[in-house]
Amino acid sequence: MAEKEGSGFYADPMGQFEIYNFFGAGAVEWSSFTNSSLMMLIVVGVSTLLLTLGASGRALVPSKLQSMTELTYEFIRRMVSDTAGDEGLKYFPYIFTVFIFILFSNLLGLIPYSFTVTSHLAVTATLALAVFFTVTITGFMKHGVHFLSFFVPHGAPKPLLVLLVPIEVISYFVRPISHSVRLGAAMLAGHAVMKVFAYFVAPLGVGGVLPLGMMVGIYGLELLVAVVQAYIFTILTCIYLNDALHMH
Amino acid sequence: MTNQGKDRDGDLSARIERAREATKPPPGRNIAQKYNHLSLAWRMTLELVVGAGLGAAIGWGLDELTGLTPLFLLVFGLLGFVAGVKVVMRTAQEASEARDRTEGEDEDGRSEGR
Repeated sequence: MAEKEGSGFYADPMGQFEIYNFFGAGAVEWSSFTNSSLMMLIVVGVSTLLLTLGASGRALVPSKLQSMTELTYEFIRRMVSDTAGDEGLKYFPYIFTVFIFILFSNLLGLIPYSFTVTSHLAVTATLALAVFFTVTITGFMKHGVHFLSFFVPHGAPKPLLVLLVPIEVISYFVRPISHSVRLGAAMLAGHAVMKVFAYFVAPLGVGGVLPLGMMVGIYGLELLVAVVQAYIFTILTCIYLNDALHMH
Repeated sequence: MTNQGKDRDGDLSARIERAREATKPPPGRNIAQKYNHLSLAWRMTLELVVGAGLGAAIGWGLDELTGLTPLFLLVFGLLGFVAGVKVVMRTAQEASEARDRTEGEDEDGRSEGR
């Protein structure tokens, strides 16, 4: 984040989302190790560490960490079995991984000076596309060519199918887009708003307490957003999976 | 002696009931619930826009390929809009199903905080 000193009021709320080469300068290429890559490694490391530590105790009376791990595990497991049925439980490891990755990215991104991986559409779109392909391939593997009848509404008159099939196909492709845009936009907007308030604190002097108070409030809301967005992404994954496993 | 014990139990359960009432969060004032409603509204808006946009994009691509410029843009724009509405309707249906489920769970005494 490049900030000019002493040039009056200067705000760059989007600067926090900048991607740069972590080692040395130069343009970012596909093989570059960026600040985003570093943050993803940290996310994977922290979540693996916390969950492994939490799961290693196996005490009858759980510690706080073990209790947290078990509650998260059971919460997602119940979500999968409630939404996608017992057949969906085969996909539980994948869904749990997605949930934990998004949850920790969102939460660790809230730490000042860190980086929110999930604020970038490239990351959320990759996650959504992975879900999209998993679900589509699952549908074809389970139902074969019959999966295509997913796009043909039941009991519709034949001439109308010319219109209805394109509509069904388009709405199928709407899902990965809205799936990824929602998560990315929610994280982006919240962080940008927080930054905008932050730029008002210093110029206002004593009055800066007001935007500072707002920031505390928004930070609390952002904690909520971080968890709820991870939850929404996960439950939508379950819903899409359910569609592929048990066609209407 | 036993009679006195019973009285004290009744007193205690009444007190527990009062304490429960006092600490119960007022309905509809929960910020998490408000955020959930807001995010649902955003989700539907987004789905509608993405549907129309995707349809228009497909139409525009077909126009470029065939040279029949406004035709496919219009047709697929409309189809995309209808597709968006369809997705929104499904979202609404899912939301109401989820609400019915959580309300049922609340009656059982285990709230999910959805």
